[in-house]
Amino acid sequence: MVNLGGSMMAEDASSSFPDTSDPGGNNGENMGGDGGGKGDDRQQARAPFTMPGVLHYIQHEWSRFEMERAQWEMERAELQARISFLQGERKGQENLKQDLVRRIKMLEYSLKQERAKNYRLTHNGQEPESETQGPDDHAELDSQVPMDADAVSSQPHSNLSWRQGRQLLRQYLQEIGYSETILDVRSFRAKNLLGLLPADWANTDATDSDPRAVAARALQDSERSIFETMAFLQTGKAAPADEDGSDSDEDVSQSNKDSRKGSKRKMPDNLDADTQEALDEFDFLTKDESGKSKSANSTDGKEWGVDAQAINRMKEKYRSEQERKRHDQVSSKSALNSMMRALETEDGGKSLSEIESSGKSETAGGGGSMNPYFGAGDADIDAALGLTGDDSNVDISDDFALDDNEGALPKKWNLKYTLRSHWDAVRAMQFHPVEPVLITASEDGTGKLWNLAGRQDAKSGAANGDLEPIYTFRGHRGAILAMDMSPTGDMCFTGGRDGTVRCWSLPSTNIDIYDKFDPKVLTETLKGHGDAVWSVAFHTSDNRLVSASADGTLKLWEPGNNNPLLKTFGPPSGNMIPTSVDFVSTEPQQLLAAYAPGHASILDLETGRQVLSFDFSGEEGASVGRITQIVSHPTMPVTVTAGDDRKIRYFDNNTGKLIQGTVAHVEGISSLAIDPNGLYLLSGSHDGSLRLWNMEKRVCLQEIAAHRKKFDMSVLSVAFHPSRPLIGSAGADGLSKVYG
Amino acid sequence: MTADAAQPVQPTVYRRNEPGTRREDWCNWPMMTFEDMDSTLNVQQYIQQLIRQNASDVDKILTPPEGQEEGVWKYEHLRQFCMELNGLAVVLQEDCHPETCNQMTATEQWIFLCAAHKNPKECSAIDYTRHTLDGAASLLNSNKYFPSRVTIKESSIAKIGSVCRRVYRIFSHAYFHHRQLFDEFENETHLCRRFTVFVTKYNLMSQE
Repeated sequence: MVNLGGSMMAEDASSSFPDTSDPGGNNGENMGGDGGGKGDDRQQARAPFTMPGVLHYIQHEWSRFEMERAQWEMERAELQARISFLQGERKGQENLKQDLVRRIKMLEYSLKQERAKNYRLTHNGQEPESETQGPDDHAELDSQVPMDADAVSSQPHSNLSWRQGRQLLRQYLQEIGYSETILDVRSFRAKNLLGLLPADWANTDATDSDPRAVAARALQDSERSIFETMAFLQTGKAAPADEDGSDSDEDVSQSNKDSRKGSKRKMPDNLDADTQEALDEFDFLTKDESGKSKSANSTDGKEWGVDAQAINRMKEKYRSEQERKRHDQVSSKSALNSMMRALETEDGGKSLSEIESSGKSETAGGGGSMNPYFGAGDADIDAALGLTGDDSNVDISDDFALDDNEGALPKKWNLKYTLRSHWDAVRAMQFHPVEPVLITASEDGTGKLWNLAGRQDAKSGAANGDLEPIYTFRGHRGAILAMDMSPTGDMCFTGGRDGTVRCWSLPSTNIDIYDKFDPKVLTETLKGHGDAVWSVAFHTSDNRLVSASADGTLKLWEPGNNNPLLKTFGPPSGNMIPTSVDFVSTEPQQLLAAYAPGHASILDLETGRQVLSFDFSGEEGASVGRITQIVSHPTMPVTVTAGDDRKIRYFDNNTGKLIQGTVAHVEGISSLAIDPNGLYLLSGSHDGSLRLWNMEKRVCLQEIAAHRKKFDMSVLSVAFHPSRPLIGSAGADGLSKVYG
Repeated sequence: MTADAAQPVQPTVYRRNEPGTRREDWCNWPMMTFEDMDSTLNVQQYIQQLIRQNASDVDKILTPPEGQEEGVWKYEHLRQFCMELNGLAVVLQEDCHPETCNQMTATEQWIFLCAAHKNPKECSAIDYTRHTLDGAASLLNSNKYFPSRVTIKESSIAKIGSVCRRVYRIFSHAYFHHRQLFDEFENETHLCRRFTVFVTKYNLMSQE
């Protein structure tokens, strides 16, 4: 992004030079200065300025600002996408942490069970004396974090398993970021803080009804619970060396006795103690976050406040859960699971609103570049939640959010098929005029025919979930670079690096790829070009074909004729090379041709003379890059071009004047397609994306991340189905994709 | 936006074959080191770059860059072989007719059955060639067996061997029955030599 912006700015600055200095006839001495310098220069130069010169300058400045603004807007959209991506990532981390906490609890529970079992075994089936409840009741307590410390001393046999368990817990906590030093620091602080404990215990129960107070206390609680856990772990380490136990040991066992006292009280109190423990676990999360925010020195307390509230809500949930559990004897695992789910819906709801707000600004800016980020965000969350298993809620709600966001738009295109059978970059794709059939042409030297409706009968394709081609066109020696289909859909024409144009009759759409070779499919090979053929176009009502080659010429052919080459049109000047051709839809006797560098014109088919040359000079003069594709509007006298300079330009066929030209992609645009009604324009770029545009309003309706890069090439071709709601793209990664 | 704002303009190289590129300028861009290729198609890029540099330097082309996982290396090479073999198939289409070569044979010893069909059958040589290449394109691009071009599933490595075996028969048929075409093709591409070194190096075929 930075790089791109940089190069773009550089381009602007250099191109603005001649324009600003020319009208004044001045030298550009002051132009190198900052804004102030510029202003001076303008004043000095005012006298010799002519009215048109000034107007021109203002217009120029205006267009430059517009462009910059568009650029900034894009940048902003991207940054916003980045923000939501990071937020998503944070949520993923939270969930991961929660899962780990859950695991810790499960481990503790099983450890306890194991201990009880061990005790029974060693004491001839006696119940453990320290347990006032039977094993069944014990299940209720499974989420109690600190074990009864004095139970250890009364059971010397289980000391070993205790120590192992502690080690394990230590490991878990280290994995989530509690390193040795932190442990030490915390345990030290724990000693100071633990004195507050009893008061806190009483407080919490009393003020549960006040959510604000709870949020504030959540911090304290969580800190305490962490310290307890930490200190508890520390004992594991310190105990072997220090028989008496450290201060913190004593403190902890003290507090544990407190809690145990609680648990020995009547049932309701017991529940509260349990709940308290579990809640502390959750606060633990909040605490960690707030710790982070402190260290980052950020002041977005509001963010964390929201989170704390969310956790409060969860606390309530858990409390009622616990209540129910007491009666139903639900296992703690499922309870925790449902809590996780509750949390996730919470997250989903939140991200929904986030997406909506950022989405609004995005549509305004015309930049849809956030989609790829969202994809990545989802993937990351998925990865983070890989352990949880029940994380689908997050994804679903995200999708809905996007749908809602773009609900006002005509249609959202989604990937339907990925066509994978080419070895190398796919250069061209085109749909059959009626059938759900398409042809792709690739640098691997083959063209392939695909029948999207034939999915079911494809022999092995159905099993693999892959759609397989039904025919392979072999004939070109080397890469195929261009392709067009006849309006009836029974012929197609390919141009290759070998300089030939080949005409193929389309086999039946029921053909099997493993049928016998029929040499008659290749009906004709048109030879005559001396270099690679880069563009072919077949006339919609005439049996005529035009091809553009790197040898500098355009050739007009009549396939099937004894002498198929009708005419050869040389370049308009010198070393110009045609890059793209099309027929003018509103004038059947005219042809559109784009030339490198930076020239495009309308030619007369009969005379080959230039009828009109499109005027690129309205902008930054010589900075027009290579035009990669030129297409004719299907119903209006309008021509659209796309180029390396990332711009899509609309021209008036009658005057040759530029109607509008805007930067449309982050990198060079490789291809364009217009839907048969002339309402929508599809552009494909080397930035890997497709963009769908409203032709009338010239705003971007949707962006689709489509293809990967091979070297600096990505999307190479885009297409609309002439009669069905299908669009397609083909790319340098060898894939073709169909969206519906 | 004045001249001061203009960062030092680095001549950015775009490695693209843009429309209008002349044949001799095809892929004619500064070489890239393997480390600099950050694309997921880096292995393909690297192999094609080496071939373009000197197609006859078979050993260099087949030497993987340091740290390259072997599965992907073999897979991408096989893709490249199948792609270039298309060139041989195109040549054969003009010379190898079902009437003259109605069976896929190399020496008289074996008749190869075309495995592309449910029940393998005796296709003519040109059909065998086309079907084998199309079958390889389906298999090696299959989402099931080769979903990624960055890592290859262990279970799919075996498929590489079977594709090699079938593909090799196309070379041998051309060698024994269309010698002149084969020699012309080989002089241009050194494909058969590269393929032989490849299968020997990675021990992908049992017999010669």
